[in-house]
Amino acid sequence: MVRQKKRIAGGTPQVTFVILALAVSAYLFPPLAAALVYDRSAILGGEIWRLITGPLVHFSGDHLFFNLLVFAAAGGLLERRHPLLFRHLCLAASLAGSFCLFLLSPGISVFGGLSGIATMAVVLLAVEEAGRGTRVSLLWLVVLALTAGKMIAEWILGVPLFTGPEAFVIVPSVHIAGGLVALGAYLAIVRRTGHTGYGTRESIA
Amino acid sequence: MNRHLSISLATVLIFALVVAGCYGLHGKQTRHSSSVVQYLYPDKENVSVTPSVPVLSLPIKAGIAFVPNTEMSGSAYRLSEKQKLDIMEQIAGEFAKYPFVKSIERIPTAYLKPKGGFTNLDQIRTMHGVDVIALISYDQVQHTSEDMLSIAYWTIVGMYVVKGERNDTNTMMDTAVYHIPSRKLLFRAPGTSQIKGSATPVNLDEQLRKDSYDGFVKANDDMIANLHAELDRFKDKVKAKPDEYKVVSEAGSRGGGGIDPLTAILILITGGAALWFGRKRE
Repeated sequence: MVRQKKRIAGGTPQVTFVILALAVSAYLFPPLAAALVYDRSAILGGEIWRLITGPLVHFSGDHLFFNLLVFAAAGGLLERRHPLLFRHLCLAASLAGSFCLFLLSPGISVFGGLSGIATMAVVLLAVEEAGRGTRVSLLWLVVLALTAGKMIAEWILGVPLFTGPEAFVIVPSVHIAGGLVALGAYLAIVRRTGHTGYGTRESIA
Repeated sequence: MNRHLSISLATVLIFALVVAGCYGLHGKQTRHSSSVVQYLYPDKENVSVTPSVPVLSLPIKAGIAFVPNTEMSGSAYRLSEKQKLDIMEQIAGEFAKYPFVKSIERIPTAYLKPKGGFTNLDQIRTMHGVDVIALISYDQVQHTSEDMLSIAYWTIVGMYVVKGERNDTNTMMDTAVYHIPSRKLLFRAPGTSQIKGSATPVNLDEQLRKDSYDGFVKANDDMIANLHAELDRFKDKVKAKPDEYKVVSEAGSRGGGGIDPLTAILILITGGAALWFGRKRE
């Protein structure tokens, strides 16, 4: 069983690849993006799949590139560790972000972007590594601080950091939702395994 | 007597040459131009319009319009309203695809009063619901001299000094993008073209008319390329000087989950370093 789990943990991050492929396809084929994007009025009209598929849509080349870059790195690593859990976490982060938007930002009629899911992957990876309590953990705390600092600053200031006029309004609540999903998942992992850092004991799937 | 006659003839000859030379130097030309400065600041005594900090509401609803004519000399060919709309359509098509642009309204010249100034722009803003407007001005010169002495001219087209030859068409276009509420010039870009004269006395009028429009089309292509470059510079300027340009979101607009380049790179570098050191230690 342990051998089987280790083999899975070292396998190809299939869900990450599928999400990357779908995001690129949606960017290249606008009709696909139109069918997937979070569209508040369409969701109210019954197209509830958009709550899940919205993050696959991106509005510009930069938006797509940097979201995919972070998601590919963090998501790929996380999926190799928790292949089964990862797909549930992606789903949870996507839904959490969409519900946050739906309830807290009724002024946003259209939304897209993988950053909520990417934030979830970065936060869970960093928290797990930081929890190991080694010297390298400090670097993971820096990653956590960067991610949290950006989210909090954008939340307080109400404007995106380090970006100029974009196609869209940055919505910090989606990133916070992704971070909270990661923290929830981490607590569940700790409760189940009894250890605070990945690698200190066999991980859950 | 003969000496006096010789001097008189020489004087007449020199005078004739000077007159011909002047004609050759200045040439016979037609001019067709409009000026943003004369449109926005018609009152020479009072040009103290103080721009404030522009608040750019994204996505932007922009307008595009030709500034009314200010000079028309000779028998210059006037751009028809349809030709102006075609040129504006081309520019609008290029910039409407930017994700931060919601729409670009083509505003017919009839809505712009000569010397209308910002008061006129405020009216356009109210009527068309645009906060940002791209004002297109132009200056076109066509040399139509039949004088064989006037092989080459130096002339001023807009802000450029260009060499013009007989039946050449020199065109300068300029687009200035203003934020109407703040009276602030956001950015501007020029475009120039030169159509070499190929007309003969037989088809002169027809060819000059064609060259006139072709000159605008070519200058417009040049201007569009420059506008893209200036827009990129403007975006950098907005990022670098947040105190001078405010960017806000409009209710009902698009939201995005975005990781900015700086944060993404810092996360990747720090995370990558942590993984590398971690594996090295193990």
